Amino acid sequence: MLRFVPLAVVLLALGCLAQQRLELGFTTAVSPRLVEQHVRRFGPPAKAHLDNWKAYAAKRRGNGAPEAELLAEVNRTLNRVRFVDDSKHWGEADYWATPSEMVASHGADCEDFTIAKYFMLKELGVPIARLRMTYVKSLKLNQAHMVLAYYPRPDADPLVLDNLEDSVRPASQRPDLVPVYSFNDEEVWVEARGRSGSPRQIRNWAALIERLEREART
Amino acid sequence: MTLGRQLASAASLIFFVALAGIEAIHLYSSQAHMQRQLESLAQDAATSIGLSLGTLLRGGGDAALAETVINPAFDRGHYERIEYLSAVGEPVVVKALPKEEGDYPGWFAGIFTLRAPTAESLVSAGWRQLGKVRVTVHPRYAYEQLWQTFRDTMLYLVLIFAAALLALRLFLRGLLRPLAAVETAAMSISARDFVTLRLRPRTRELQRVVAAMNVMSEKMREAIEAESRRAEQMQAAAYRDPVTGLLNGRGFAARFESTYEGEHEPFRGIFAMAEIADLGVINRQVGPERCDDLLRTAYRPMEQAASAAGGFAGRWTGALTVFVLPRAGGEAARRELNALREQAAAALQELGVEGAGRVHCAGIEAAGAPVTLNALIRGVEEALLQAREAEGGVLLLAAGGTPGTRSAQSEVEVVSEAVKARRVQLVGQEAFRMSDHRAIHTEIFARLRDAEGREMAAAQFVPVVAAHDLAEALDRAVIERVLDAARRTDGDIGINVSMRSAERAAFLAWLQQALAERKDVARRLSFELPEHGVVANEAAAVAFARALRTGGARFGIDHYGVHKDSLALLQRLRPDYVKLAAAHTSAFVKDQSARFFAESVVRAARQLDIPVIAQNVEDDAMYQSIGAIGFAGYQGNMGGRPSPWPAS
Repeated sequence: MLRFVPLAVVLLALGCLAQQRLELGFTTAVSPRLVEQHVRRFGPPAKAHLDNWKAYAAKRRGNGAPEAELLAEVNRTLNRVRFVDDSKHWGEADYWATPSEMVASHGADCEDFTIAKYFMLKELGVPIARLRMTYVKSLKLNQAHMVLAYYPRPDADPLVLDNLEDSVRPASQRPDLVPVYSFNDEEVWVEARGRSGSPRQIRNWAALIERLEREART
Repeated sequence: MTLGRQLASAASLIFFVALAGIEAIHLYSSQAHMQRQLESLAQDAATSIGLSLGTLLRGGGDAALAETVINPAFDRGHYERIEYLSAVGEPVVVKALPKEEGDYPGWFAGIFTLRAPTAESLVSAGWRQLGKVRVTVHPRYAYEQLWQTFRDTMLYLVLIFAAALLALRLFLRGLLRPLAAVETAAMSISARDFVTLRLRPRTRELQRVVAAMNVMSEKMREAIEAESRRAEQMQAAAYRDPVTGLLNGRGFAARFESTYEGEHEPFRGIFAMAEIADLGVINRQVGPERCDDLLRTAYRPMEQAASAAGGFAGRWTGALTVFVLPRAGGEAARRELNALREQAAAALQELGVEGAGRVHCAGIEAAGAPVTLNALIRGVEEALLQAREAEGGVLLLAAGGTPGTRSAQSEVEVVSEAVKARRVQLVGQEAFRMSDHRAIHTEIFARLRDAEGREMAAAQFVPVVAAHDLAEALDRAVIERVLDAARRTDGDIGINVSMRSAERAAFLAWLQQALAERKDVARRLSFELPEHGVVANEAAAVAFARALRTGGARFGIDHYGVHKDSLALLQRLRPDYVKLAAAHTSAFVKDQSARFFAESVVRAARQLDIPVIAQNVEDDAMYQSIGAIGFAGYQGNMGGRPSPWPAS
C-alpha cells in the first residue's frame, strides 16, 4: 500500500497545479499570504484595495448580467486606479504588473489596466476568444498605448475598453486609435511586423505569466 | 566456448548496444528537431499568408483573390492543406494534397512518427477580423530527410562496429596467444609430456601460470628421470656383468630369446664364443683386480664388433664371453673372428701381464633355421674346445653342428603361396588387468595353413616369411582379417606388426587408410612392435606410433626391457603400454635383482601413465610375484592358452 503514497502525492500536486493554471490572474488565486506580502510591499492600504477587488469579483461572478453591461462596469471600476508611469511606479521603463500588484499598489499604466481588465473579464466568464489586448497608437496623445478590444462576433466591430475613457465605445467611433498589433492568451497575430508565435514568446507576456505563477504558489 | 570467443562476444555485444543506443538517441533527437522545424514552418507560413491576405483583402475581395495568394505557397509542395476560413469559420479557400507516400519505408514512419503540425493565423484589417488561415504541413520531406539521416548514420555505425570488431579480434589474438600455448602445454603435461614453456607473456596472471607450470614440469621430469635412472641401475644389476659391463648370462639369454626365438625371425649369422686362456693361472699371479682389467680389455673388441653388426655380447661364465654377429658368415666371418682374437690378444699383451695374450675364439654359423640358444651354446662350446686344442686358431662351424640348410624350395613355395592366398588362421590370447581381471585385449598371433588346410608351425613359416620378404604381406593379411572379424567380437585387440612392415611407407599409408575407413574398429585396436625392432629404427617406430594415434589406435612395445635403452624409450616414444619380455617373468620368481628391476620399470612407467603387462605368466607362483611387483596386467597360460580367434 505504502508504495502508492508517493504516486498519490504526485497526482495531487499535479491536480493543484492544473487548478492554479486555470486561475492564473484571477482574484481567487490571491492567497492570504500573498495579501500579507503585498501589504508589506505596498503599505497597509493594500489590504483594503485587494479585499474590495476580490469582493467585487465574487459579487459579479455568475450573476448573469449582459456582457455589454459587464464590460462598461469592469472598465469603470478598474479605471478608478490611479494612472502612474511605469518608470516612476516600478522603476522600470516597461513593467507589466499582475492584476493583484496593480490593485494592491493602486497605480497602473495602460498595459496594467488592459491586463487587469482582461483577467477580470476572463474570471467573470467572458470567452477569451472575444478578448484581444491590442497595441494601438493614440493619435491624440501621439504615443503608444494599449487597450482591450471585445469582439461580440469574430467579424464584428469591436468594443474598446480604454483607461482614458470610462465609456465603452465601438472601435469605429474611435478614430483617435490606430490598431497595431493584438493578442490574447491563445494566440498572437501581428499586423505591422513579421513576428509570430504564441503569447509566451512575447517577452513581457512571458515575464507576466511567470510572476502570476509565482503569486499562485504563495 | 573458448575464453577468446566469450570475451569477443561480450565486447561485441557491448559495442552493439552502445552503437545502437547512439543511433537511437541521434534519430530521436533528429525527430524532435524535425518536429519543431515543421511546427515553425507551419506557423511561419500561416503568419505570412495571413499578413498578405490581411493587406490584400482590406478593401474587400473574393475567394479568387485569396486563392491567388495561397496558390504560390501551396504549390511549393510542403503543405498538406491550406485553408482560408471566414471570420465565422466557413471555408473560403481549401487547398489539399492527396495523401501520398514519400521515398521511405512505412515501418520507419511507424517508429519515428512525425505529426503533421497545423498552425493558425488571424487575418485582420484594422480592427476588423476577416478570418483565419490554417496551414497543415506535409511531413513527407521531413520523413525523407530523417530516413536519409538514418541510413547515413547506420552505415557509419556499421563501419565503426566492423572496425571495432576487427580491432578487438586483433587485440584478443595478441592477448590470448600465450594462453593457447599454455593450454597446449597443459594438455601435454596431462599426457605426461613434461614440456618447458619458453614464452614470457606480458599479462601478469599468465606469467605466473607459465612459471608455475614450468616448476611443476621440471619437478615431474626430475622425478621421472630419477625413476628411470634407478630402473636402469636395476637392469644393470640384474642383467649385466659388473666387471665387464657386458650382459651377464641371464641378460644374454633374455636378449637372445626375445630377439630370435618364438615368433621372431630366427637368428642368422655368427654365434661366437671367446675365452682368455689360463685365466685361473693369471688370476693367481696378478690378483683379482688386475684380472678384472684383463677381462674388460680383452672383450672390448668383441663387444664393439657385435654392436657394429647389430648384435650384442655377454659374459657367459668366468673367462667365457659370447657374442652374436647377425648376418655375418663365410670366409669373411672367419677373418673377422681371427682379427678380433688378435686384437684381444694384443690388448692383453699391452697390459704387460706375464703369460697373458692367448685368446681362443670359435663360432658357428646359423643359417636362419629356428634354433634354440642352448643348441647354439652346445655347438659353440664344442667348437671352442677344438679351437683350444688347435692352439690359437679360430674354428668356424655350421649351426648346431648340423649343416646350415636353407629352407627347401618347396617349403618356400608352400609358405609364400599360403601368404598370397591369405590362408591365415588367427589365434588369440587375452591379456588381463591385475586389478579386476577383466580383459585388456586379445593378442592376435598368425598361423598359416597349407593348401590341404594343415596348420604350419611358427617355426616352419616364420623363417621363410623373414627370408623372402613376406612379412608385410602377412601383416596386411592379418590386419585385414582382424578388421573384418572385429565387428563380430567385443573387446580390444592387440596385433603384432613386424618391424620390417612398420619401416615401409607404403604399409604405413595403407594402414592409415584402413584405420580411417574403420574408425569404430580402430578405437579398439593396439599394434605392437618388438623392442629390438624399435631400438634398431626408432624414427620408423615414432612415425608408426603417430600414424596409429592419428587413426585412433594405440601403440605398444612388446618384448620390452631387454635393451640398455629400454627406459629411455618409455620417455621418448610414450607407448600406450609395454609388455615386459617373457624372459624376465621367469627370472624374477627366482631372483631378487630381477624383481627389483621389474619393480623399478613398473614405477617409472607409472609416472608416465604407461601400464606394464607381464608375459608368460604360467602358474600361480608367477602370478603371485607379479601381483606383488605392481604390474598393471598379465598374459600367459595362467589366463588361458592361445585359441582360435574369433571364437566360433
